[in-house]
Amino acid sequence: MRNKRFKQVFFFGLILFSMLFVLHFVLQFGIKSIRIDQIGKINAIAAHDIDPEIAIFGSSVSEVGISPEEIQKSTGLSCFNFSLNGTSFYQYRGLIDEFTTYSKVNKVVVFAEAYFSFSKRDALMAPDHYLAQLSNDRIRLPLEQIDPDLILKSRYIPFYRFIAASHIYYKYAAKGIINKLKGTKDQPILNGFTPVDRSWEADADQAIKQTGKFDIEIDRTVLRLYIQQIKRLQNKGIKVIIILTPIYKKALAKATSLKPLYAAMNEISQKTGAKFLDFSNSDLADHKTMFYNSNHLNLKGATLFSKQLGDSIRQLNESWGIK
Amino acid sequence: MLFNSFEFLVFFIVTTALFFAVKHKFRWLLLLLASCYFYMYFIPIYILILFVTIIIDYFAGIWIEKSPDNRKKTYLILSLITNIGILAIFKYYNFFISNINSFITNEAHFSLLSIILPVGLSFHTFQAMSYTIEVYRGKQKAERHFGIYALYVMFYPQLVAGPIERPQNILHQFKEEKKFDFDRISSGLKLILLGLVKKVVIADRLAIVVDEVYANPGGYNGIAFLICAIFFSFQIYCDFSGYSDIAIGSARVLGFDLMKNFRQPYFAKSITEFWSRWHISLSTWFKDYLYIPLGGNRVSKHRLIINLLLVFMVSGFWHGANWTFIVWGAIHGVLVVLANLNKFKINLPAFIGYGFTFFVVTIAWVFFRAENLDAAFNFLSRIFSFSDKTYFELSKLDIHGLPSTFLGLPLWKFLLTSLLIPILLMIDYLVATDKLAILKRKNPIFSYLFYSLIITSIMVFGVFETKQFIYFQF
Repeated sequence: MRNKRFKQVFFFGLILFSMLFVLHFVLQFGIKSIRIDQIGKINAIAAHDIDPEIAIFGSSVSEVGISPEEIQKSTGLSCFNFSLNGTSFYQYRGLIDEFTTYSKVNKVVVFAEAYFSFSKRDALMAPDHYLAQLSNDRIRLPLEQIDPDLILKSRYIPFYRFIAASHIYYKYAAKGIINKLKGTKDQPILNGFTPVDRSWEADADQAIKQTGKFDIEIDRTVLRLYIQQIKRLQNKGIKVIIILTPIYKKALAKATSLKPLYAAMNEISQKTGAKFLDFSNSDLADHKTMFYNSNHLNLKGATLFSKQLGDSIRQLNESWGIK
Repeated sequence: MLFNSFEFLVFFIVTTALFFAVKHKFRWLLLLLASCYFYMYFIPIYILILFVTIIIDYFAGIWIEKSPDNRKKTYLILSLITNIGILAIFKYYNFFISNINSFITNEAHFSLLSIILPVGLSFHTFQAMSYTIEVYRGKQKAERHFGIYALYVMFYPQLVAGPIERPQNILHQFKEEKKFDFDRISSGLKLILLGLVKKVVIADRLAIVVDEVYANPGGYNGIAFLICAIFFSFQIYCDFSGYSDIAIGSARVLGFDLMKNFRQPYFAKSITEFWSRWHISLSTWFKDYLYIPLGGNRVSKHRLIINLLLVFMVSGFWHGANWTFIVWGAIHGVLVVLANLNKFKINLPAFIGYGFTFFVVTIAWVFFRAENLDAAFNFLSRIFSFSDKTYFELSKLDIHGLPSTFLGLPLWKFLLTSLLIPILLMIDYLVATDKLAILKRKNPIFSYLFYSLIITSIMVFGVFETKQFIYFQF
């Protein structure tokens, strides 16, 4: 009887773990091949696939607001937009470190910031986008500092990733598997640019009216890490430009004071010598036709802004002797 | 710790392994320590409240048994006042004070207490009260072993959300030696799996839609409110019965039999039948300790109406310190009164009974879920606003006039979420008719594949983003 029970438990365990193992490896196989959207950018960096001369990092404001094609036209250098939606520097800095370990041609890194960029987040943005790359220490460490519980469990507990993953993870894994079966390969779309071809949203005015005054938060730890990151890039001979992207004037006016933000930018400039370009008050910021909401440029605004930015980068490159 | 957390999985495995490893005479201690750890995982200091009630009720039980008849009631009242008093302070004080303050026009308001409700207070309080009442009635001998009594109150599978056990059912089980029984453990684990499917796959996915509509009522039309109400009916059922299944399954693995708490309530053909199938441990508690002492149905018609309304309103109030719960209870009270007074026993087709019962229960759930009475009445008015031309517009349109989201979800996700309801009803049907047992007779490989698929589905499709069980708030 005992032998029979032991066999039952053994065979059940065998079937269960086989099922989970196969699923795990198939999903990993599929998702690592993705090169589109947010997961694609993370995978591309981890696989050392993309090496542009100008690399742009930031959150959604730069993801939708900066067109690498326009930058390339203005500067004559290859450009890729690595920006990740909703992700602050505190989370994505590991990707920058990984990028610089393999990059052979990169000359300029652009940090595209908004007024919320220097706040510390206590929750990860889209953690399942990183699940396939948790074995990469550089990419994983910043994530661990934000949500150690989730990341450590996902890394060391077998099959915990199934629990941590959302449907996005499975959707992309399935897409990757289908690509592999068809023998096709994903390519990044528009070099990481995700334009939003929409006009000003009707409820954005209402949202601005209802938003009360807000303080701009500058976390000293984030600032310190930011300065360290810039210095590491500069030590490798990479030029760093920090920009503030255009923000619709009426939304920016809700900030109680912009002084903390400018003080932070000045401190970074003084300590690192990095170039700071402020586009937050550019002529684009006056016109809601350039935005689809208070912080994000639409396609029209992004195209115009990218030309302005490209021209500025070109002038800086000329002064630096970068061709 | 939540039943659907990784921490509970580790805790459960370790506790179960140690339980069968240690000698029988130490098992009560192991379970008691495990239960203390389980409870302290929420807010550690609150275990002191539990200890106070345990000590008082332990001695109350002994004194009730030892005392002459004319003194028994004193100790019973002491026990009941302690338990109800603690419940009143932590759960109802702010409710009463807020209501009193609303009548005070000047600034001399009473201050509210800034305290968090201890997890499971309503449940273990009622379980403790049932002990002293049964001892008083002579139906249960007072437990002399303090540790065993403490375990009766604190047994971790049912500590925070029931089932609310009776001492006659469970106390003796703590003294019996439990042997390692493969079939029983297997049965317990299967019940835990069923509970997890109901909670993390069905309830928490339906909750995404429900929370969206309740949070943004201005963004939706009538049909959305109706769908949301139906979804909530199944969400709360799956959430609570899922918890009960995990609790009963966990206890069964250890060798303990807890009472059944749900019996496919949405298969009820009448409101009376519904209450014999929903939260059975609570409804029987109120029947035995409130309804029957008030006279039950052996009273005049007018008194019967008052008794039924009172019992259901108190039951509603037990769920939460808010007028919405009292109204929820009152609605059920009225329905049960009407069912009891129905002299015209008309034989309706079963499907009308099922449909009508589900409909009235769903309407009542709106009060259960709403934050206040205004929100509840507004919600109901939107459900019944049939004259609204946009009533049947389910989707939000994008700027091009194309459907973008359906109650906050893409269409495919909304359809899949909706499919969960017939899947649940199928599960309930299979469980009710014992058709799942057919798996045992099939090739065992089929059974292994089936349960492996269930476990994989829980992990892949489950929502694990720290969604608390609804009944934890009670």
